[in-house]
Amino acid sequence: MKATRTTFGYILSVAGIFLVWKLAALGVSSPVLPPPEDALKAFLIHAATPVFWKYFGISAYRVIASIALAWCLAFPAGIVIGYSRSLDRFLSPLIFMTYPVPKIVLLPVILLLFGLGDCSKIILIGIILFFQILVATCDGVKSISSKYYDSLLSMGATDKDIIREVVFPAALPYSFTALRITTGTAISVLFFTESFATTSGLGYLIMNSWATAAYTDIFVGIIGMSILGILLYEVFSCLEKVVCPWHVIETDTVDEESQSGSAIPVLSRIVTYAQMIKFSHTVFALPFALASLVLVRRVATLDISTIFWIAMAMVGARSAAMGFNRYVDAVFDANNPRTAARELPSNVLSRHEVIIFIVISSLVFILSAAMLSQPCFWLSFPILAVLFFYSYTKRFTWLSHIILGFGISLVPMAVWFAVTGTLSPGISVLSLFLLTYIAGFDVLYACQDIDFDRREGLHSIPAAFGVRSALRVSAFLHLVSVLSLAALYRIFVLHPLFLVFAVVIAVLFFVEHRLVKTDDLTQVNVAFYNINSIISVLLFVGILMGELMWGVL
Amino acid sequence: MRVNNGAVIQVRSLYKKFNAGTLAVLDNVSFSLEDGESMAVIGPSGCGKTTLLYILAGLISYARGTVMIKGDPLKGPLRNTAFILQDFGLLPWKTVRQNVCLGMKLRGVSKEKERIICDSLLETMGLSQYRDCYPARLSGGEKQRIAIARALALKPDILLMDEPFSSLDTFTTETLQDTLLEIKAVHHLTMIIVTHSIEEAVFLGDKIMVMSQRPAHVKAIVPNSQAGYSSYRSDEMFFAACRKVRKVVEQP
Ligand SMILES: Nc1ncnc2c1ncn2[C@@H]1O[C@H](COP(=O)(O)OP(=O)(O)OP(=O)(O)O)[C@@H](O)[C@H]1O
Ligand SMILES: [Mg+2]
Repeated sequence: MKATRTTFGYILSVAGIFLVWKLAALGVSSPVLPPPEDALKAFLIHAATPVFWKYFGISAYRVIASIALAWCLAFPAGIVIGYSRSLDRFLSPLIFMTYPVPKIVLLPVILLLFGLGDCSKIILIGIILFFQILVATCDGVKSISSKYYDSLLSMGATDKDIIREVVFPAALPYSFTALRITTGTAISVLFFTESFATTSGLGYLIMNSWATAAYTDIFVGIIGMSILGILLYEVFSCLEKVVCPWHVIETDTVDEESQSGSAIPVLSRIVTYAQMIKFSHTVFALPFALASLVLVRRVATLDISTIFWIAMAMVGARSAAMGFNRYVDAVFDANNPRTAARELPSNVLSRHEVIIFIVISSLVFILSAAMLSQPCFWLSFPILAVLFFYSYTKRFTWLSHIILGFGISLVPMAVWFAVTGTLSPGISVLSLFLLTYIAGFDVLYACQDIDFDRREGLHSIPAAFGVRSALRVSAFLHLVSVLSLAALYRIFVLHPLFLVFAVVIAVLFFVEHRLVKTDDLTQVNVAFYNINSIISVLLFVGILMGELMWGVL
Repeated sequence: MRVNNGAVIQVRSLYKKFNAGTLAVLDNVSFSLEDGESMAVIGPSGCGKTTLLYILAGLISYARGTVMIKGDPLKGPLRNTAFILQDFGLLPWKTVRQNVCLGMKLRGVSKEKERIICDSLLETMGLSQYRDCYPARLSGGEKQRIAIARALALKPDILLMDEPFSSLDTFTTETLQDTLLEIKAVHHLTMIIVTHSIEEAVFLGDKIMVMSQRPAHVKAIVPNSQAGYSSYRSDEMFFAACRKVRKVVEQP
């Protein structure tokens, strides 16, 4: 659907760029413009070195910090200025007079004030983005139809209520659009700030290659910066969808029709969704695999082939487990007279095809493990057994959440073992975090399915003990998660920066539990799912940043 | 000073002008409504019907005249008055449930209570399955029902509606008109409904106020006390009342 369209678009445009580039290189035929395949080759070689990723990480840090800084200041300011007529009258002329001034000329001043380090770079990029976001937010607030204000006022709303219920949510999509549009600007300014007085970052890579006449390497930096830009753009699109789901519906009328067209849409969607969630849990393991890779570098060196086979093993294991889960569900439903008529969400695959899929995925997993090491090969069988076993647990024990968490939590230990051939206490703590984190929110999701599970005779903690106790169990599990973060910090002696991320994660957990407690279970929805994905990504970024700071990478 | 002669809404010699130098919008408008009574307001486009409702909802001020609600002069939005805007005013960034709960949230009703009230309202409006949808997904009739549910959630005594069914097809309109009559009876509401349709005015209004071109004054208030039940639509008296209102409307 939409995603494939976007992917296709990317492929097409990359092919287009490649073609034009190739023609231009042929026409110019000078080492200054190497043919695209050479540049790509150079890029891949660099991509296999830690130094490239260090530069990439530093550039990413600078630009993301600037964006975060700019948004955190500009969005609230834009709301207040847009909403308050008197402030607007006072500040608008000021903004519109300074808006066209190229803020980049402030660079010398900022350098003098804030020094040559990251701080001045972040501030310069931040200032430029600040104005863009501010103006977009202001315009957004001003375009809010007065009928929304009127309907709130008629209910006796105060200014505070109106800002919270109307202005804030209405302006949010505007600020996200601004963020997306300004990624180009942000990267350009990043390049500018990195082009002198620094010895790190992608901009430095470009300038340094230029100085040493390594023309092909210039393009390594250029490709790196492009990738950074595209990533940021996509992240903002995703964030927008997560934070402003209504906006997607409004702009996405085609999908809207296809979704609301089905009969009894909501109920069936909830059920399919619930099943889908179970599969999707495995996605959360990916950042943990990356985090483990980052950590394992302390004790061992990584090579590309190890990383490749680890990735293949993960893909294989995940596909095998998902296929098996679907297969078991199909069999179970068919055997159950009440549900025999119910079609599987995607009935396009026959049972036969599903079996082939499972076998191939399992083979990929086992072979990848074999490529890693002999012990990995032997261990792949019990791991596969655990993954398959999970699919049955819902039929007979409410411990299924734990088994699910356990299956997924094998990832960090498996990665560690694949690289070092041993295990360490630290990595088991990371696994413990993953286990409790997954199990904890699987319990939350199961609260939503409680009726369904009871009707179908499926076992889950909410179905067995009621929603209240289930919420408590989940909170306890997540408490263990937070504690294991602290342990992780101690054992690995992570950089203090990690603590910042740990605190944010703890707060997110807290918010998550507050949401379900104070409100009803309908809060356990897509937004919730996204909090969880943010947690897993934060953990990875926290560990990565910490290691960058220690200079271990 | 309290003037209480039983009227829930009493408007006397109301005069409203937006900007100096422009034509007045309302000129010498007077009427009064008893408890549980409904009035339909009908008049040419741009004459000031919406403005009248905004004044009654306490959202805009008026220059001259008096507006008394339950004997007290109106000074701002009242807790017991619910207002459904011309295009419903549902917030697109809130789900159906959040929209319905909005007024209760502003008034600090506990989440628990909010939920119970909301669920039972959505149930009676036949909207339960859309609880977690965003309004953009819904049809016009569904949106109107949500707006009604949101208004009722506040347990109002007075309901003001601005052209509630103008964007809906005949069938949906008639169903919703019947729903509205039921709600009015059950919740014992005093209602003012602005409409463009003579038939709707006669079907829903215990009296019908016909307004003139801007500056709007009251041409006539046609009594219609037979209204208030579903089969009235095919009653001979209904058609007679329609003819009577039409005559007033067409008078120069
Ligand atoms: N805020 C305002 N400032 C100035 N003029 C206004 C304002 N609001 C409404 N008017 C004017 O007052 C007149 C009456 O407007 P109103 O919206 O009350 O008409 P209406 O009877 O509801 O019309 P319709 O049937 O088309 O909805 C119109 O001419 C309109 O242009
Ligand atoms: Mg109007």
